[in-house]
Amino acid sequence: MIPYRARTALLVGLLAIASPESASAAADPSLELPLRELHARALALSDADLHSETLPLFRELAGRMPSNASAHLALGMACFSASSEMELRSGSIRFVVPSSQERSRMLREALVEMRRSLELAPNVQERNTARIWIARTWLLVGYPGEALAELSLARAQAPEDPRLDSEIARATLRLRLATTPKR
Amino acid sequence: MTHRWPRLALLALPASLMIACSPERESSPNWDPLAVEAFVHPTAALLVPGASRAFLLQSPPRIFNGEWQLRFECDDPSWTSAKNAPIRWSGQRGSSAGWEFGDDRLTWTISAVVPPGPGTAKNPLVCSIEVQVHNRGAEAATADLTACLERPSPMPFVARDAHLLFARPLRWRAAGGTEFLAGAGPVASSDSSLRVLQQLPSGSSARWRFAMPSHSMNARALGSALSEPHLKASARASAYWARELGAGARIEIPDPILEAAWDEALIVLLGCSEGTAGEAVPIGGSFHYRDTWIRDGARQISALAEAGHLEIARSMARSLLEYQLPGGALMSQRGQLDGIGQALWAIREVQVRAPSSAAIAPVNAIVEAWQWCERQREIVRRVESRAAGLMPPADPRDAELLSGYHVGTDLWTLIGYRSARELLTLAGEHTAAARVESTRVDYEREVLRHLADAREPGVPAAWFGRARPWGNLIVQYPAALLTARHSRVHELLREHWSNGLGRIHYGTPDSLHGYLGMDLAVTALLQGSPEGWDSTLARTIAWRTATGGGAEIYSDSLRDFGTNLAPHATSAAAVMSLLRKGLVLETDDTLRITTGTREAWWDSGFGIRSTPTRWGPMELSARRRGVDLRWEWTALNAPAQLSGPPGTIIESVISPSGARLLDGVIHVPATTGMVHARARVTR
Repeated sequence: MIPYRARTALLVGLLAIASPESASAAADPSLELPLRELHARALALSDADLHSETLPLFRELAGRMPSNASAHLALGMACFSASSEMELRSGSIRFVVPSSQERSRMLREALVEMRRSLELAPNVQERNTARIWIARTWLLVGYPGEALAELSLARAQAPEDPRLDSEIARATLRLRLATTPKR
Repeated sequence: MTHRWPRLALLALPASLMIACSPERESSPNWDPLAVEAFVHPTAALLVPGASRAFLLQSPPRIFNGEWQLRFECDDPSWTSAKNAPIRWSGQRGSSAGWEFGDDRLTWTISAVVPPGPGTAKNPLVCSIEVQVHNRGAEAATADLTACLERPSPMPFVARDAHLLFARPLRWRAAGGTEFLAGAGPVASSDSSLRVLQQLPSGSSARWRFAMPSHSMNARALGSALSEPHLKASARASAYWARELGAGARIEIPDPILEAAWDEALIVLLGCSEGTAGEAVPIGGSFHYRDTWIRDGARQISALAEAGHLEIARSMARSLLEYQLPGGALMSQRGQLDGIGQALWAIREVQVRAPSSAAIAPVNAIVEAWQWCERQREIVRRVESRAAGLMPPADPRDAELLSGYHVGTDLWTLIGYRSARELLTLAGEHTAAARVESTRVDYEREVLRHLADAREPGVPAAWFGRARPWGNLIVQYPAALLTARHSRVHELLREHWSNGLGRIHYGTPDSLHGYLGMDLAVTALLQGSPEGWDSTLARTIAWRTATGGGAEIYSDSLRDFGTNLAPHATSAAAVMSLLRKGLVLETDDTLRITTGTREAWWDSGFGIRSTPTRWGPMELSARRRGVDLRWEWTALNAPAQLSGPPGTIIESVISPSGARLLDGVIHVPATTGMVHARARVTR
């Protein structure tokens, strides 16, 4: 099971904001505190598994730090979490976002934001981070082939990246057959 | 369920009748004489296209909107038969439905009608309900009825936009109140129960009017709705549905049950939609299936296109593009890889029937979808040589019960390639169309190679491992991968109809499926074996509610669909598709006419009006006089094949001169519009 939770995304985002690389994005001292407050609120909502409610906060963060790869990645991950968020409602487990069209829009936004993060990432390590999350997203929605394609690009960029082995193995396993004979 | 003694709202005084009954003219329900209830628990649906909710009617009389219900109760012995009273159309099909029951003293009729409207939380629908009781006994009687507003437990389903956690108390409209309310009745009540009581001398009647909104409603607005007489609300709803049912294609068959079934299927197909007319989205069902599954939506769109409702079909087809992800895939529900082919097919089904209208899908959307599939196939080829050439494994989380390589994924993707080629050709993108076709040919060869390797004699549901049948049933129609007379197709039909022609069970033999057999029925038509089509049609028609709602899956022995409520949009698509394809079938470059008919239709004559085909709109009539068979249809630019009545051998073709008789089927060249033949009756 992939620990795909918005909390991870938030941590990524928090680290990014705190890191020197993001200094330019947060150069305006007047923005520093509100950004941290936004993160704090988003973290609290994510902790409560209220992923849909984190979206406005992540959108605002990404909007205020348009060049920050981590902010876009965090938004992408939050979108995915919201698109797959379930709840127990009147005795049934249901999607929090009941409309498949709306969930599809969220998934599309997730992939677009992750791709934006990939474009903005300042180094191979962060580019691969974005690719790994894109691949995980594809895998979780049932497209292992697309996941493997993304991971292959990551491997081509950084053959030694140790994170890729398990990710590639996971996607490959979904495509490979067991020893079941053909019917 | 807790029961509270209802507030006594109205006493039995002569004057109360004046209060209870609005001064409107008497309306008497016009009960559908054709209604037959197939299921043990009668239900009906009152639908309004585009609305976000619908009304579920159940017996004993209660009306549920996905959040609360209005339930009538009465301790009088005349209500004994209310428990399983069938729910029938009580006026124009689609507009009003209700119950009629009673004993030799009191006869009750309850009619519910939903005039068209936006049907959103801001602009709810209002179900107008009229209860009438008539004392036909020799003695005076008392009619004592309680109307309860309540949240049933368990709920039959929960509306997607219901807010049960913060639900307001359910209240009847009180005079002058301004709060949000759940119902309105003939008298004010501040409680959730409302009781009306009436002394009825022998031969007299009483009548009460209620209103129930689809969503909680402001008292003023609810009062305004109640001020419209029931008769007028019925007239508005009737006019709406008469207009909708009168538009598009019409079948003319000397079988009123089948003609009614066509209308009832259309009501469901139109009613299972959300949004405005220009931006309609298909939904799988009006109650618990209130979301889009491309697998169902594609069937709905195709059926609506065949029925000539091209505007809404076009709008629904366009809505499927909302599911396109970066890279080109189309997915409404996770893991359902067959959605790409189904979406392209649905778009094609509409576009080819309205070729001069603007393109539904942009060229790049079609090309990206095809490229996405090609990329997936290439990845599979690299990673798993045993599955080379196939689409990746899927986990549809649906009926198939397998995460793996599904045959249906590849069959639908092949249909998607064929549809993409046609759509690109229509758009004038001939180079792109040729590239798609080239890969389609290669893909088809690979799929055939895998099928040749399959050990089972029919068509497996999964390439590796086991799955329940689903997408494999489309191998002949609509996939056209194998010819109708291929041994594997024969075996597929034999296997699935082993418990009875046209009888498709799912899981256990007692669990019957409402629509899964429709493609097999068309396959049987293409085999020249209309018996399978006929049996499938008969079963599909028989297994419906009294208002024509087909279920998805139901128990044969218990006659029950449980919580998987009717109507299901794809079951309605099956009814319409079977009827239309029996008369006019366009699966390839040939127009097949009267391939599926019933012997009894021929002497009276039958036909279809205004059905769009890929060669243009078409009218058809066919008739037998003695041994003379005559067909007349709109001459289209397609060669045609004509079949005669079941059990009849066509001996010769009298005209036109260019016609040929081959294996009992008349073949005529394109632009022919009339055939006169002579038959020999063999029965």
